[in-house]
Amino acid sequence: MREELEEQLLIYRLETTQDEDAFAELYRRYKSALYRFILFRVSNAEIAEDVTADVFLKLWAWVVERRRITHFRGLLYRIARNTVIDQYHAAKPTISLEEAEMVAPITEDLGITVGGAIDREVVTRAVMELDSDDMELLTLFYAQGLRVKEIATVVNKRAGAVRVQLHRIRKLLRGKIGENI
Amino acid sequence: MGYRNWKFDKQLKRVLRLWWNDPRYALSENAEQRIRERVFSEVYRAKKKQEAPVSLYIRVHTLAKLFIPQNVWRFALQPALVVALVLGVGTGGWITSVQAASKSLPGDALYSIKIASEKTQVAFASLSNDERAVTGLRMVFASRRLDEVKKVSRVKNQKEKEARASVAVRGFKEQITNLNTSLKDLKTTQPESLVQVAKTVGEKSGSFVDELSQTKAGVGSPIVEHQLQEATQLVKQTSDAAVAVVVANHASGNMDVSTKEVAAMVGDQLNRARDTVDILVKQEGVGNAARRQVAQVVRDAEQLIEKQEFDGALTRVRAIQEIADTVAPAPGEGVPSFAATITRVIENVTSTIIGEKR
Repeated sequence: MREELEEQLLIYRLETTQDEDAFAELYRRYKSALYRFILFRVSNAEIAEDVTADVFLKLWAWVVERRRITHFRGLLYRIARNTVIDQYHAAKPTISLEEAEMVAPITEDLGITVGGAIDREVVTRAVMELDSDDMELLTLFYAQGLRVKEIATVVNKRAGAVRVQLHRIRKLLRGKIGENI
Repeated sequence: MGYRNWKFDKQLKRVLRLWWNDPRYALSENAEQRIRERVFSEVYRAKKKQEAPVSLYIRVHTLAKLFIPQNVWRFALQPALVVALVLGVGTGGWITSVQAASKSLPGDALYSIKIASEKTQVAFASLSNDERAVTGLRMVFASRRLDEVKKVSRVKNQKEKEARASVAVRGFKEQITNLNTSLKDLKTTQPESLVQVAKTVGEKSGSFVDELSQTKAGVGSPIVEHQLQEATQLVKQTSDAAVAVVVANHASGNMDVSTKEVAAMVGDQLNRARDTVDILVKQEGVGNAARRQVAQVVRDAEQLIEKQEFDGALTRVRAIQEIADTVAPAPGEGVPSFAATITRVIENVTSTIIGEKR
């Protein structure tokens, strides 16, 4: 709660006085998550680095032009998403199934129970089989922790439509995975 | 949400977060330093250039926005202001009248109250400077007018039907004209909202065209059909203007819409224009050469969309639309049989395009 309030004040400073310190703090908070979001789409660390810088520069241009910021995170990811789509035509996260499966065993090392080995594989496969829009929504919601309204800003849809789509994806996954997870 | 769903959700979140947070995809210190240097050297340089002061109003409005949720503002404070005005200008009976008027149709005694309440809503949405909300309201009211045309079409007395439907069609055209004007005004007044408004207008226009076509089919009056045909033209013009705004802004690097979205919008325009012209081109007597010419323009447009040359694609879409508009049947006349005219128009329009290409 306190962090959220701090962030709101940072955004206020950014919008009213184009405060570079506030921008630097927001940069510090989001650089890693944003880089990861981009890397999963472009699958190349150097490109992801360039795009991350581009996105923050575009965000700064947005601030300087005194354009409205309704959902900061939503705006940030929307700029990232559109930059990736426009420059690299990679709307879908491009992590391979093999890479995804290599990551999955970490769950066991951390002692988190997510079912048996077969279930993990089933989950990974089911997620990888989703279409690009569904996969994007799922990762924004579960992995990046964005709220429905923020996701709506990212994908340029109404919050209700995002909610319905998320419900549909969950249902689809439950159907694919079964009740084993 | 049941326990099983909740558990599924929780575990799905865990798997995805672990997958997402894999250290192999973390930002390295060196990379972070390079990004920081690039970003902040630009930021500090840009900051020195601009020093325009921010008004007190913007400061207060921005601060208030942080602590008053948007929904509260839009759905509580804004309607509260409307109610305050209603109380200010009228009597207590006004509210009851507005409620009763909400189902009224053109020609009913309470219809003018319904229109007045709509105008009040638009006026207050305009006060909050939220052009997207104003656009949304105008679209809702335009849909209402079409709905009213459908309802009054059931009136048996032909003269009464035509008079009442005309009022609703006029109201529809008024809303569309206002949307068109908004698009023009926003370029100077609120450029930051322009693309979003244009996108919404462009997307909704398609369903208006379909609705108008359905309404026209069931109205049973050549006069109203003609008015609806005019309204369709107006919607198409507005839609074209909206898509042109989106295309131009996208071309100049605006990030509000992605290439995929622009391609979808231009693609929709193309499909709609093609559907209309297809019926005409399939007319008996239309020469094969003319058919091939239309097919070529459609293919050109598709290829240009593929190559992301949206401006060129839009020119082709307009050409196809022009063919359809020029040879479209007048209301009540059915599908035209003037094959020679169709052929001539196709030749004229396509030769203009070929000329442009050269």
